[in-house]
Amino acid sequence: MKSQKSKLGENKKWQRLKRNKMAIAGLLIICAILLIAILAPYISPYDPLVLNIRSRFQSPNSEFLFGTDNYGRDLFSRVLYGARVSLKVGVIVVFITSALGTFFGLIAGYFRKLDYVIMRVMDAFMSFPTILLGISIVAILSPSEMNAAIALSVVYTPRTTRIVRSAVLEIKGSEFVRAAKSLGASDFRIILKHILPNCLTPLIVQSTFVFAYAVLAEASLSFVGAGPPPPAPSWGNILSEGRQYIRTAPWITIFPGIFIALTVLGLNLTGDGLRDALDPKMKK
Amino acid sequence: MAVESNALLRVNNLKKYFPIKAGLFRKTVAQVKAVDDISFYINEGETLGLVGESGCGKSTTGATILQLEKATAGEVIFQGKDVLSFSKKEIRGMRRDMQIIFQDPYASLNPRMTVTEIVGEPLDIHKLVRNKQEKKERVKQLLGSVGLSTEHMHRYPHEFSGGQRQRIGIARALAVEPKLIIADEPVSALDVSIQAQVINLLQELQQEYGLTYLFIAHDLSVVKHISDRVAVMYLGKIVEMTSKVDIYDNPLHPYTQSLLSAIPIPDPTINKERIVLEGDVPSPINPPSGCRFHPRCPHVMEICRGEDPEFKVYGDNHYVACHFLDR
Repeated sequence: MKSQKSKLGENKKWQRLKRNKMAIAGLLIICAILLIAILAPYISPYDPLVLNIRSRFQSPNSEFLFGTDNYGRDLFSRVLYGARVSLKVGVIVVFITSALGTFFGLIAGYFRKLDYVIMRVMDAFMSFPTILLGISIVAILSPSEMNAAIALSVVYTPRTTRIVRSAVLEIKGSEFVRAAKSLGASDFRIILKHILPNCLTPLIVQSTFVFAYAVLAEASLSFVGAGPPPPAPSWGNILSEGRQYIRTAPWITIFPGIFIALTVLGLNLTGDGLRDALDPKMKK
Repeated sequence: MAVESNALLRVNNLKKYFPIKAGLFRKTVAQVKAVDDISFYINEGETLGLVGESGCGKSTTGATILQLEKATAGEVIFQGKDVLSFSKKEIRGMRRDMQIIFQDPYASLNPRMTVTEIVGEPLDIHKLVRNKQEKKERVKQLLGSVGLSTEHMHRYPHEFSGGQRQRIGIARALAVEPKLIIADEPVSALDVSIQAQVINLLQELQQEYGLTYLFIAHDLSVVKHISDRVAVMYLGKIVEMTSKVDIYDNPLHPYTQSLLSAIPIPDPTINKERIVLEGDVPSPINPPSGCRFHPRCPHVMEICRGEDPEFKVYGDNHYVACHFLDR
């Protein structure tokens, strides 16, 4: 009975999401990129690390679908493997920012005395330009995939904290929270049972955007050499290496660029769609 | 005020001021005197109706008694103990005896909890049941007592109508077996046809469980139906308090008189004299000096502008704060 009822609610949201064609397009793009990342070892025609000096700078052809780079490595294989790095970093960043952002947001929104302290620290982090802060953190930690993810989590946690905090402030003033208080519920119970479940919607939507930012920022970090170090392929460092040959071999930069753009587009479309579908006030 | 031996709740000189903060250092620049020195009592088993227009502080009074808002000054004596001096732990214990029903049945239920979870929450908080089976039985029983059936147990609030939601809110309040229920405009958000049902339910429950109500409303006809005694509030003060019969047949305060004259009578042949008040309710930030009602009072005298009238007894338990009666 219970599962039936809640399924009914979920179904309605799914129906609303399904009607949004852009959101479905976004979801399909994400699924495709995800498949590419998972299946990279099986579908890439060459080893992405093997050098082949004889076939340097080949433009896209039937043998090398996306052409080759300055070391003669197959660009198609490298781009497929690069998806793994981007998505892995994105997922880690989403997990860390959601966890920390929810924690700090709940505390800041609920306990007004801690609010000032927490939010001023978050403001301090937000006052740095995103990429600059990311680069500095990676510079301290040494460049690697994991450290790039940690740096970007630090960069994006304040944004998630703000979103969660504002949701908490709104819910905290609602009558059902007053009702819980008048029943004698502890702060812990109110936060866990009443406030947290009601902030999940903005959090989920925010997470898709953080994912998109993280993919983009990871590419930027790699581009300036603060991402996973070569020769391991990531979209950012392929771009970075191809930069010098952009006039003679533009395909080296074009293909990873297209994939970055597609991923970010897909995530943003999904995020917009989710926001509309999950918002109970939008009943079309 | 005369001491009533069987008063369950006694409120003495209760004040609730909300500070208005401004500037860089959040200095208090002014205060909203939402509740300004009010006193009343409620006897065990009776219903006191608290009426007044919106913004007069009647809901704040309810919230302050329940300690949802911290009182600025005064005493709230419940069963002989001053609630305002309670520790956090004592307040939690007190919540078993004092409950509230909210005005808006849409906002007062968590949209992500089922009815069982909502009504069962107080049972968990105060550990009133030993296991899930017992909790289920108790929730069933509570839903039954407010006229909902067991098939509603696993539904979410959005699947109910306003009246049904209000019944869920009542069941939740009843779960802890309270002695006093503060009903904060429990029917003003409902359709007129549903209002009567909910009020009748409240009366039935009062008889069945021996409940005491503080019934807050802005509608005098609703209050007339349910109350034993009525207190009228104006701008943070109680201006008149007496039995239901007296307040409707023999209102002494000019504000009460004008309120009563506004009740429509369903008979077009009766030509009623309507007392229409001039002007608007003044701001509680800077209330008028002396009697707060004096700028709008038809009987205003010189003394009203300077001196705050005392809340005095005139006749049998009929309390009024008005200089005009002392002429």
